[in-house]
Amino acid sequence: MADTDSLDATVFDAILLGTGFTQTIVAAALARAGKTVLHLDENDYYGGASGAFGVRDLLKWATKIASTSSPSRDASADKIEFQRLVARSYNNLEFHFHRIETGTADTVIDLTTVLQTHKDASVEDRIKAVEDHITAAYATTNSPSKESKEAISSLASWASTPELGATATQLESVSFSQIQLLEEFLKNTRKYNFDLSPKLLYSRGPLTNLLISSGIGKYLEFKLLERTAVYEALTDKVEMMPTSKEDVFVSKALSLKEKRLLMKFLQFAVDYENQTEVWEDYKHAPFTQFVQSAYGLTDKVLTAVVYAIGFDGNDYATTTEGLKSVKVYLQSLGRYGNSAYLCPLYGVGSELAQAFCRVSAVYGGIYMLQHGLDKHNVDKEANKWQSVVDHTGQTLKANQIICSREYLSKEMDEYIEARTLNRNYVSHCIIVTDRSAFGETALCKTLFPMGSLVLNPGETSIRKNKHTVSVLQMCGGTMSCPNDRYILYVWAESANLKTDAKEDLTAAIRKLVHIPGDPLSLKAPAPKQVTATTPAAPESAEESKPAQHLGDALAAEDQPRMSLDQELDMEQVRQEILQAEKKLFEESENNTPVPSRPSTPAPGAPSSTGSSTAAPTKPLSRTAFQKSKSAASLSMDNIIAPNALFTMFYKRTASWPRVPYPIGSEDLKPLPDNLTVVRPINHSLDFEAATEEARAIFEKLCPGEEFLPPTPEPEDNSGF
Amino acid sequence: MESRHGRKKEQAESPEVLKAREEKEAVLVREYLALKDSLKELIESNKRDNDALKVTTALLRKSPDYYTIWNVRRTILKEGFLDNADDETANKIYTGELEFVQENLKLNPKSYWMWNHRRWCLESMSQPRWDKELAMVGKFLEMDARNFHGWDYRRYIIRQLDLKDKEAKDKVLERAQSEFDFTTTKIHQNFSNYSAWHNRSTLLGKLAEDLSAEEREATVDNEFDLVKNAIYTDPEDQSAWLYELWLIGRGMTPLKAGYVANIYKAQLTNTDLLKTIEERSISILGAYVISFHPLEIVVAFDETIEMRNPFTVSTRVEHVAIPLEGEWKATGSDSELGSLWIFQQAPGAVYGPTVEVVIFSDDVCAVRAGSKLPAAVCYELETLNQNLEDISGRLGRLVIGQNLMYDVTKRIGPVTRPDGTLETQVVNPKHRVTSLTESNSLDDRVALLKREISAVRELVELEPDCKWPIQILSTLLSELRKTISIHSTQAKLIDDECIELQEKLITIDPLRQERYEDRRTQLVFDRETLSIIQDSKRFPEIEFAVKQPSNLDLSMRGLTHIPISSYLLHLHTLNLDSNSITSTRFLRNLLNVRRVNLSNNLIERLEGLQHAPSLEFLTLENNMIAKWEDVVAGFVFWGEGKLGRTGGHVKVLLGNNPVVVNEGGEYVLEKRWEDVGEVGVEIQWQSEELRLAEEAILAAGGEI
Repeated sequence: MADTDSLDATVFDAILLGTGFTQTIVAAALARAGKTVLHLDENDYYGGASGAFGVRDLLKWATKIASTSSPSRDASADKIEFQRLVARSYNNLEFHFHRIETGTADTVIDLTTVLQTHKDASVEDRIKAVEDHITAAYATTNSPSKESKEAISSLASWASTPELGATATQLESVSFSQIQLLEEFLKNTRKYNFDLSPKLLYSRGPLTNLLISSGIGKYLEFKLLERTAVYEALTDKVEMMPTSKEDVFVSKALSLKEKRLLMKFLQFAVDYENQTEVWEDYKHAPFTQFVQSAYGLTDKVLTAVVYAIGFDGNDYATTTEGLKSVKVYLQSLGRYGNSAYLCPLYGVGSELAQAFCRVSAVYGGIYMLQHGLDKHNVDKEANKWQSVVDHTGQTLKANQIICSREYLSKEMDEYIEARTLNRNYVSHCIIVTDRSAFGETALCKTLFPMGSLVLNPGETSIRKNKHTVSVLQMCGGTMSCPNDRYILYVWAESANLKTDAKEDLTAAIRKLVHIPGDPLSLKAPAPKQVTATTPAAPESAEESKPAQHLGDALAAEDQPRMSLDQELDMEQVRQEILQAEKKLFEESENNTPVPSRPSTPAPGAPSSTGSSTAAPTKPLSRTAFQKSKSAASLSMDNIIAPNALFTMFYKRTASWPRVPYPIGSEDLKPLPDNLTVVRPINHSLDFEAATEEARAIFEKLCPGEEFLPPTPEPEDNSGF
Repeated sequence: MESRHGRKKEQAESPEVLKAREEKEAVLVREYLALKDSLKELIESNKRDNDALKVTTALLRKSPDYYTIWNVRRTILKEGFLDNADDETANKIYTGELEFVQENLKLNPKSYWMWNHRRWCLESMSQPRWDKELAMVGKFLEMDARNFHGWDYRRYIIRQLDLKDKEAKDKVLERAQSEFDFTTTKIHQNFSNYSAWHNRSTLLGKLAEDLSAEEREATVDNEFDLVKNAIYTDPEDQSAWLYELWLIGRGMTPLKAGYVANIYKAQLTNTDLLKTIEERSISILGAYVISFHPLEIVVAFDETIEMRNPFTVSTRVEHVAIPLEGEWKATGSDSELGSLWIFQQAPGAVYGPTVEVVIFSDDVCAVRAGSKLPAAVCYELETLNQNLEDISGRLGRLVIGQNLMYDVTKRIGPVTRPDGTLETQVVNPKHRVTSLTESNSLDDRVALLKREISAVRELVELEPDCKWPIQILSTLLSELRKTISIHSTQAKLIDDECIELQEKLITIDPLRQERYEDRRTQLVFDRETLSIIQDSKRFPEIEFAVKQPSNLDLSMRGLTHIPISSYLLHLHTLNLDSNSITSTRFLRNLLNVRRVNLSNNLIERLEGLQHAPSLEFLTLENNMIAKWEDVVAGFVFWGEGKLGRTGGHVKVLLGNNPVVVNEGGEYVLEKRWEDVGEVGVEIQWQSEELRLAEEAILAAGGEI
């Protein structure tokens, strides 16, 4: 990005506002098709609602959301109120740093008195007082560091300003362990990449195919999702599902006959388009009905397996939709290994967004982050969007404007609002744990089917979850957290704001992790005793880490990273032999561990001028062969519950005008023709809807043009 | 769900691609020729230095499959370097070679010569690192779990390691266990892996040695469970079916459970149990005198055998057994093999009132692998009454007849060998072939078979159009049938079901139709000939029933051949009309047959006729005999004996065969032979009208 916010040119073929996932694809496609593109974002990061943050940035983001007051009625109709609209789309935001309930004594610092005495003081004074109070107590036994100071000051400010609402339970006390935890988080802030809207890619889905065909995939690295688990209400158990031929073969949960029925169904699903006679009668019927009546997969386990394979976010899928999704799954299996899903490294959404932005920049797209915008100019007569005015007062013109809803003017936003009848939200929770919730399986998704969870245990009228709760566990291998930590993303669709995110999701979380202070969650693991009782203490004690690092002992074998050109083929296999052998010999000859590849952070954001410095770095070749998981990893027995260290809840608005529209809203004046508003990112597991939307937008804007044709190799293309 | 062998399917090629490839190949051919020239030069130069070695290196990089180059390389290495090298230098050279091979293996993991060169290096080294090799080949199998070179090499390394630990049985077993676990891992990753299953079967045999009966049973169950999971997951995968087949094993013809338990169990030591035995017993159906002057004896077996030693024929003169000179021959022109063996007394030999035929088990060698005569058999033939009229009632033109059989006494148990030693009966009571699934108890075997049958039957119901489960079901049923009496109702039901299964297979897998038809023929034949045989006193062996039918109608049964022609020894009339029989060779064993109807079959050539001495009337209408030579071929005699001196007429109806048209149109061929002793065939042509008239007489039951 240039050091100045002023631009030489102010007229473009297209201006895009917001670097959300969909816009970035459109931007890349437009630039690739030779259009001049200006891409602006008010945020200082890529990805918008699917952005990814380190710890510090996540807390900053949360505080900002919580502190931005939504009503600002005095703005004029053409005003862009980005921050307000962003804040408005997030509800129920709250986060906790949990106290550690291990055997070690934890000192609690009571804050009620100090808060009481400074009740009427100014906010700054109150924070200062609380901070001093904590520091005084903490510093006696702990050596203060830069991070501990920051931690104390953060905690003090959260305790002192409950009106921010960032922490739902008001901090009336702070414990040493909390301070230490926050300190550790802050120290490792760069090791975390928290996704605001976590998702996966099908290894043979439209997005992956697009990444490959366009050559954009070479900017990215992936890991394979290892397993899918489904929660079974009857047994109250989370079970790993056999979701590939190999799994089915090994599975102990399925009887022989069930195995056959399941395989038969899957064989049919691969080819379902040519066997319409089987499913035509069920075309519009629920998929589950087809699976059960037409295929006789009535058994609970089988239903669960088909659900695990076919669920892509839609709880009410018709047979046509369900079969399509099962087919994409099956086609994806085996492309890169024994898994159908890819998980990009360094945070899902922002990495993809940056990859597309990079292509856009290579083809001349101009990028500016942290670029404040003031208002839209619209020709009311012609109902044409004309220009957008930025914070410096520059008027930026273009033939087309593509933006997400947060960049709309007040007036435009009100139109969208008026056209929306049915609301739609996504409840999210981000949890950081100290060990895997799935034993040796590190990278794993779990589904809690609709109606399987009681959201309000103990109350007389039971409420069950109306939508599937999805859980995605990420590990250090995906470069989204340190190696001794795991992130669980929990999310579910929600139809209203009557329940908050916490209520929507807690029932599911309880089945997977121990939430300190929550008696209904899994039991806390017993304190580590191994080193104390084992006679061979000296050696193991040295190796063993503090109790909260227990997760290490169980850390799953890290899956190899993949790049998209690592489709299983013989050529590749031969290459791999070379590497594996080299490694083997190095190991046996020198007996020194081979240093693993240093984790290079993602290349910097492309510059605004699209100069040749944006040349992509090629991912290094690395071992591609997939060590398949043994049968043991299908079992969920004897798994030690992880402790929740940090949780953050929020409920994001995904409402969008759709049938049925509110009565009378047809008469409203529609938005300008040359304005395209991108839908909010949905709750589904994959990016396919967003990818298709981007393609549709591009095809509307540039009819007849090819959508993201392959990018030539950089060396053939030195002109850029 | 996955691409085959992990390879991408090649796309259809356009002419341009083809042309480009041709050009590319032309270059390769030129390169190859140059390669050959340089190799020749190299060999002729007789150089043994570094330069020569470099040439081979370059050549091998290009063409690792050119095995002569490897040989040359080894010669250079040995004569030029290794012979004068000390240990350390030699090891360096070998290590260098190993690295060279390794590098090349990556490009060409399926080249025999490279793996071979590797072995040479390791075997020549003073201290080969076998453990490192094992890890190396493990990596190769991780790349391609189905590379059989890798598996073979792995077994080789294990053998070498085991050899080192010859004394430490624990280590060997531990290694076998870890190898076994390795196959489990590979099978879990992808069970479509012949090599892994095969390796597993070899290891199981090794591991079973140390298992108790209970452990072995648990292991067997576990293996069946594993393979069934594979089969149910993908019934189209053949590798798992083959393993299942191995597990089921081919049972020998079973023995009565009680019999085994009481008599032989005591003798069985642990080592007996370990031997892998693939035996089924051969039955001797009967022995008969077919001529007294000279003495001719026929012995009928239930399958084709080879005679290792001539069966002992002796005559008792005043309680002293004196060997009777003579010659054994099988029927048919190839007298080495046959299911019917005929003894001809040497001219001038004299025999007493009792003649004994003793067949020791090692005299007999079955053509079919795994068959064995379980015990020596002795027949006593009385020769006092030689009044043929009395014996056979009505004589044919030949001095043989179905009733020309003395009631022979069969003796089982110890028989004195000619050298005076006793032959103990070796009866193997085991019911399985694999060392793993053998068991002493027939009940166990039946239980196991029934369990597997019900599992596979369920799969057949789920996958009615998949050929593998049907084939295995048929095999399992046949195995089960071996455990029961041939005349039981259950046996009949099994036969019927098996026949149905073959018919189903013919429709769903037409490519292997002939195979299924042959199997079906066997089953149908077994079913139709049930009245001919019976369970012998020596169950489970079989013998001829006391009362033999003289007619057998096997018309329209879809038979492709006659599986066991010795069964038909006693028949007078055989109707095989409208089948799919292609050969008449089986006629050589039908010593008594008068009339055979083979119309509407697929016969191209007349064979075996000369050994059907009683044959009078053979109908071969609507067959495929096209050449005159093929007709004449049917009349060549062997030997001097009674059988050779046949006389009389054989009428062969050849209507509607190509040969009739070829040889002159509308005539029907009748062949008569009256000549005795010499091979002579007199052919008479008979008009169509006459033939029809004769048929009318025949139909009316009259004689011609």
